[in-house]
Amino acid sequence: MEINDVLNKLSTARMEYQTTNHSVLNRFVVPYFIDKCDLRASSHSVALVGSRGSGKSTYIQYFSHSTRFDPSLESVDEREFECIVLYWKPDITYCQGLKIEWLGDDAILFFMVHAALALLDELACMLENVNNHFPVVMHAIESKRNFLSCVSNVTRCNIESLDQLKRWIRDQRYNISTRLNPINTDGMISIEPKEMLVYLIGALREDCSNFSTSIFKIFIDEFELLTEHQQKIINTYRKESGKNLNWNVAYKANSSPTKETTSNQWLQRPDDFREEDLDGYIQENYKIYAAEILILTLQNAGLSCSGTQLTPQFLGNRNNVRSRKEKEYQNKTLDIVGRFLPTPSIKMLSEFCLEKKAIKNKVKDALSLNAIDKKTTDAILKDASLAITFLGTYKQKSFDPGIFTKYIEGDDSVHKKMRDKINSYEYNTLLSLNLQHAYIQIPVYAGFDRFVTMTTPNVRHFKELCFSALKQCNDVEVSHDIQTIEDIPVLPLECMHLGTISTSDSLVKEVISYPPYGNKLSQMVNRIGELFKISQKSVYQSEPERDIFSIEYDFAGEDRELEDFIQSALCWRVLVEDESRRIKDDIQSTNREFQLNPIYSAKFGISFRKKRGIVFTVEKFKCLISGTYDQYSVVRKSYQKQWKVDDGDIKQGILL
Amino acid sequence: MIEIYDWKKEVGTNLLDNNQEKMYDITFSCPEKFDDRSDWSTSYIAKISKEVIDVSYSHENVSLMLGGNQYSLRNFDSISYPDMHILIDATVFPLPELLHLFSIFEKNNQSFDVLYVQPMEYSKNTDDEGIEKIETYKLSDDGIGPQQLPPFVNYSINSSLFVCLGFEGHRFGALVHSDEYDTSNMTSLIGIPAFKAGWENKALENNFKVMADAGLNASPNYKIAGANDPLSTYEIISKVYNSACYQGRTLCLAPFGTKPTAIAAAWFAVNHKNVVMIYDFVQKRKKMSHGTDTVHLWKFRPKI
Repeated sequence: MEINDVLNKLSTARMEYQTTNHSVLNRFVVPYFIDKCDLRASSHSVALVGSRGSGKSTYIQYFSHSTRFDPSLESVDEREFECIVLYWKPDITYCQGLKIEWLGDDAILFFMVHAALALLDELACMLENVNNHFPVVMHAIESKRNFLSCVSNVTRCNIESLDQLKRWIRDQRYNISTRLNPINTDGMISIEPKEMLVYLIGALREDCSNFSTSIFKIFIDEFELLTEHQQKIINTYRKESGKNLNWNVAYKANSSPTKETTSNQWLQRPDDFREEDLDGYIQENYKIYAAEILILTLQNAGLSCSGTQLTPQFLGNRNNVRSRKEKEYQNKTLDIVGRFLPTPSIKMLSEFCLEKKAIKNKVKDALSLNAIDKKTTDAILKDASLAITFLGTYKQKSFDPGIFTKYIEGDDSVHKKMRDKINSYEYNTLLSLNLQHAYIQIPVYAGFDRFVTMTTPNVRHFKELCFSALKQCNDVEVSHDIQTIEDIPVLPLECMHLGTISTSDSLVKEVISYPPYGNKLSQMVNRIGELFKISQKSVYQSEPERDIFSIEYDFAGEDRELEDFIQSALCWRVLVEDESRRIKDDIQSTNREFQLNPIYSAKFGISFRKKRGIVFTVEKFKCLISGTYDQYSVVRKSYQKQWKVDDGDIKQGILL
Repeated sequence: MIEIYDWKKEVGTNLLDNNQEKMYDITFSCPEKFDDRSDWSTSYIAKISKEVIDVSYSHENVSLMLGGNQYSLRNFDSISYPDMHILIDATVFPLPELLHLFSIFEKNNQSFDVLYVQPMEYSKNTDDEGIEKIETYKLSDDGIGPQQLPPFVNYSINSSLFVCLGFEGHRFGALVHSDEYDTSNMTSLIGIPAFKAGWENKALENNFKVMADAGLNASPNYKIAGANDPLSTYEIISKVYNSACYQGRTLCLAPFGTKPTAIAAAWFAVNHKNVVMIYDFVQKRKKMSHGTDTVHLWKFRPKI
């Protein structure tokens, strides 16, 4: 197999397209937090919250009957009956179209029927899956007939088998599909989903002892996208969740689904439900988890992983989590991925940079300008980190060349200060050099470790970075015969770097299609990205790696439109936010700091590490998101002046 | 059912110069004026129509404002303009207004004419994108995102998507990135010949990335029909519809391309009530285009 063949098989990074029956068997790496967030163990109703690409759907599907009773499993433990998870992803655009303002009470009727048919179908699929491993279940159902009798009662039609039930569901779906245009509810079935499930599950328990103590959990995905009224109906079910039938939801982080029910009672946390933050859990062990997911994905694309226990079966078995936590295993796994996605240290990047004659000459000029003697010059040039840091700081007002001389002479009193300086300015200088000189491309975004930092906790983006690097490699490398993961050639740093820029560029272009603020979000990303790029390009930087911002606004509800916009940006993960405060400003009126999604940094040539930032007034921020280009130009010029950047070629992009 | 039985084309300036009699009793028009075409059609309609009724659709209320009267979708049956000569100025009408007017006249078995003015050029995105090679267009501001348009609502699962591509690729992108539609069964329509030679390349450029994204896990079909030709667009939709029906799929129409393709989609929908109509409710920008070019008049009548 060539790299190209592997790429073709990796054509999608999205799990949901790869499975048609909702089973994630052998396509799922059991996460390390599974015991902390066992969807089947919780006695409360659960709200699973995660950002885009964090794998909410896949996580639920792992617990659902589709995976637990997957037909291709050799054997299934009887304990799987203890909790049966039914998964329902509503037909969102259809549900959104069922507007109360159009249909009145019929909107509820159509939604209820949609939910009931989907859950009935899910129940039938569950019985089919179970029957693959426990034929006794269907035998009991067919002989005792309580379940079939109740199904017949619900459907008002004589149902003798699961096949017949599925045909009835299919016919009803067709029937319903003809009743909206024009509206015709005469003789239409009406099923209350919750009562239906209580009724049918009761009958199932009577027929079949396997289910006698089963807890049934319903998980409703993409809950935040249902209309408010539909959410209220589901919330009522959540509120009324009992021990045996439990209603749960999953929604995007930073979305704001209602907590209201159809009565005057609201859902209360933690009494009525527990929110499980998938992002927080994933972040705990993201690096090793990402490595395992990449290995699994490559295996699913047809590559084997020789000489290790890292099989899809191993990674998908929760009993192995303990052994996967062992240091030796993790090092071995990280080595497999790190081998073909090597992460150059910052020092290595500096060495790479200093190999360029033009840069070396620049450093020499800077040293000479500061009257550094030859011996010290030679010593500094031998230490790439020192040389690059010198180049990146010598134009600062407070620059003191003496500290470099003392450091070279081995003066301990400046050692810590020098190391801090290198930590602050070395990587920053490399980023700046990339922006200042079109002929230089230091691979500052290359490597597995950086991919991990840029994508946490978005597994989907991580895979896209890896595939993009592979694609770049495929474009430049001679052909390789690849049968195992170990056969994948070590990807050149330039390929990983350019692959990251390409993915980043592509994801920035995608932002405009994120409703309902796509245009504004895109404008914000491009303009703030450009401002940080200007800062990064400056040769006089006192504040290295500017990439975070805050707004002089207290988020107390005064400007609802602004808050909704920020909420939407967070929901789409165009912006990320964390609790820590980095921006130095004592009179700051906000405690919220934002960063463009780190994966966008490569598009602008800026840092993906949270370092320093700027504060926008509300007026300035609004100009960035919705001002005309001329208005924005005024803001941009003010920052150019402040950061002493020439107008010159600030618009220069990164050549691919 | 309705059909087009005549199509007239004329250069705008010629029409304004001619002495016209008031041949229409009522013209349905958009209350907002966006560009030179709005100005032209306002002047022209004043010459040829006895009365102008402003029409606007409210997505929140699912209702149509017709000259100050609000009609909810369930009350459209009460709207009628018997024995009147009717013109719809489709130039800047968003899809929902067009679709509902077509539906009303189809129900009433009433003939009507549809006017459309082509622009000389569309407004380019003035934000300088540096080394970006693609010329982008900002014809509209944010909308609420792709939604099914009542009453053309149906299951999106197991559906076939038909998208008319225009200059704003992000509208198509929003549909693809919503993950709510099966892009593996998607047909894309590109307007060729375009309004002007070379414009098809702009449409392709602006949709290329999304088409590539969609192509990652699918093999979308591409069709072509004249950008100002609702007849051939209708024919193509019809073929895709038959194919979808054969596969037991619902056809979802997303007319994000030129207005004539939107007219074809609306026309098809009122004749085939089981299709899904998708619209994103973008807000048209002032000065979205410049100048006026060819004026089209399509004459619709009940299909016997």
